Amino acid sequence: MKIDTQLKKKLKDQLIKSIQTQKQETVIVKSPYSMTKDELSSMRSTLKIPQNHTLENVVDKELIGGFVIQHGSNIIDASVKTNITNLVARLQAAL
Amino acid sequence: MKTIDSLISEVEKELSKSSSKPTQATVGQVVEVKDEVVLLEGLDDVSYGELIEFENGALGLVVDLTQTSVGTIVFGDYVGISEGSTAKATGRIFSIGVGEKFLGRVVNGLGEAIDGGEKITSEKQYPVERIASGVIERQPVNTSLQTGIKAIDAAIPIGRGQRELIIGDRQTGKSTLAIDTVINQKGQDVICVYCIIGQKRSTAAALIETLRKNKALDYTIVVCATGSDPAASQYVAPYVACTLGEYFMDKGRDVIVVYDDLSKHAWAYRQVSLVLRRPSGREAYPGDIFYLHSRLLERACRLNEKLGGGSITALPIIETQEGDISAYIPTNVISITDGQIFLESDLFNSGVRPAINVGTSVSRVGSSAQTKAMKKVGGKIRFDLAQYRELAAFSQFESELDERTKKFLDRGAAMTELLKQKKNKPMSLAQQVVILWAGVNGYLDSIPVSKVVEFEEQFVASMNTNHKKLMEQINDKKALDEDMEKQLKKNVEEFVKVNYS
Repeated sequence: MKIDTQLKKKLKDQLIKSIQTQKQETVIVKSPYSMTKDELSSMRSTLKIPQNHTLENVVDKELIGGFVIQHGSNIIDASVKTNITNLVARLQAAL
Repeated sequence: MKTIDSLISEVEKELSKSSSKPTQATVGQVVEVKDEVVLLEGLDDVSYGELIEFENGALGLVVDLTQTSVGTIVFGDYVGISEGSTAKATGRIFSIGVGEKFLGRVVNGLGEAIDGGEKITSEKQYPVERIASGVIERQPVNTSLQTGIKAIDAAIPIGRGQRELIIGDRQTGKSTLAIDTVINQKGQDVICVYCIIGQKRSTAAALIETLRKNKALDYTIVVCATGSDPAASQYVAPYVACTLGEYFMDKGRDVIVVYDDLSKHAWAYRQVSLVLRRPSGREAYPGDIFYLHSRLLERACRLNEKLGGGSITALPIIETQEGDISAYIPTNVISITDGQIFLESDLFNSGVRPAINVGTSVSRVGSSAQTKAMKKVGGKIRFDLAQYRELAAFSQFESELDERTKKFLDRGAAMTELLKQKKNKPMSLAQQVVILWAGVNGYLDSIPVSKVVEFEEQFVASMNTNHKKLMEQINDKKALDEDMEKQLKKNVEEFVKVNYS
């Protein structure tokens, strides 16, 4: 089957464009203090974040300590705030 | 009172236990809070029927998944949930703890104790939504379930594993019928689960007290989602009740589950559905309202011997408005169940209590679920009463009646009188059999209709004291052989001669 070359080219461009825009996702790191570039790059390498993902640092004083990594609706929570809330819940259940 | 030292040591203990490992979770943001329904964004991998946890600790159940949002119903305090707050997916499908410890307890729509007692320790986790047992796993219903109510056991027998609907207007004794059935299971090795949906809290308290007074609470679990509980928990309560019963069924026990009542359950589901903006159909109920009840009542079954032979008998209750059984929900549930018991306010007001209309009530399982003893008298009763009704309507136009017609009318009136029974006074099989035997064999014909109730009381009392052995025999064998029938005949004749001649 022969396909119009112009149509073929257009389709190819469209697909490449959509792939590029789709893959650009942001991973947000929340921390109580702003992180340095070194810290961010070491985090990027340990978490194996692909190059086309951007890593963004957001300062959130409420966390007290630790950090929260957010990607889409998935989060990895290593903050002091969550630890305290969990502890309070456990103590309330125990007492 | 705990001293501060003990509190501190407790805190230290918890602190030493706590590991500050990072947690991984799927979260979503609240975008809309409506009556007991919360819409969220995010929660990418959440599945239908999964539980999610809000910041304030309230639990939600995912009941709606669209391309962009997740709809949940909230079981706890939804007032504390604010827009923009986060909710975590728990990764658990809605399931509850089940076990022997639940017996004698009152739990809410989520299976948590609300009777002020200690926390219930469960043996297993069962999913609340379970597909009913398959065709191969079942066996036909062939064992009788004694309700202790003469009119039902004789004319509309219920079998173990059957689904029998109790339907009628308000204040016709629907709940009383169900409570009496529960009370009658004492010593019969049957577990009862009583599920209250959308009733008044005062009604629920009175019901629990009645069960306690009659020592029926020991083998009963009360699941209580009253009118003041959220619609979400009223919606799940019957499934929770069924799940609690399934544990015992899987252990080979016989279980009765009473759903009191499913009209209110349909209302609760209608509310949730309308708030979720699902398209509504007849009477504003959503399209899956039939499936709502059919999947619940399908879970009632009798398992085959290989699986232990346990059973769940479902006794759903439906409240009609002004006797209209052709409304949406009543017709649905009538078609799902294996028969129905009609209660009528006219009968109730004229003093026929329980106000069962024996003519229109049916049991599709029929006499295969009747004991041999009851079969002997039961068939005759339906026939007598049917003939009576026909003649009674006809005789209103006739001024002069022949002897035969008159006899039928008298017999019918006496039988109607005989089927009356006091509230919370279920009768054993032998008590029922002896009095009904006397009725169908014409020993009441010589007694005036107004004296029938008195006759019944005295006769049953005399049988209980003077002929205990025969009564025990009937109860044990569940049959009435020729020899026993001869004895019974002698006793009845003697009793009538001494007291009513």
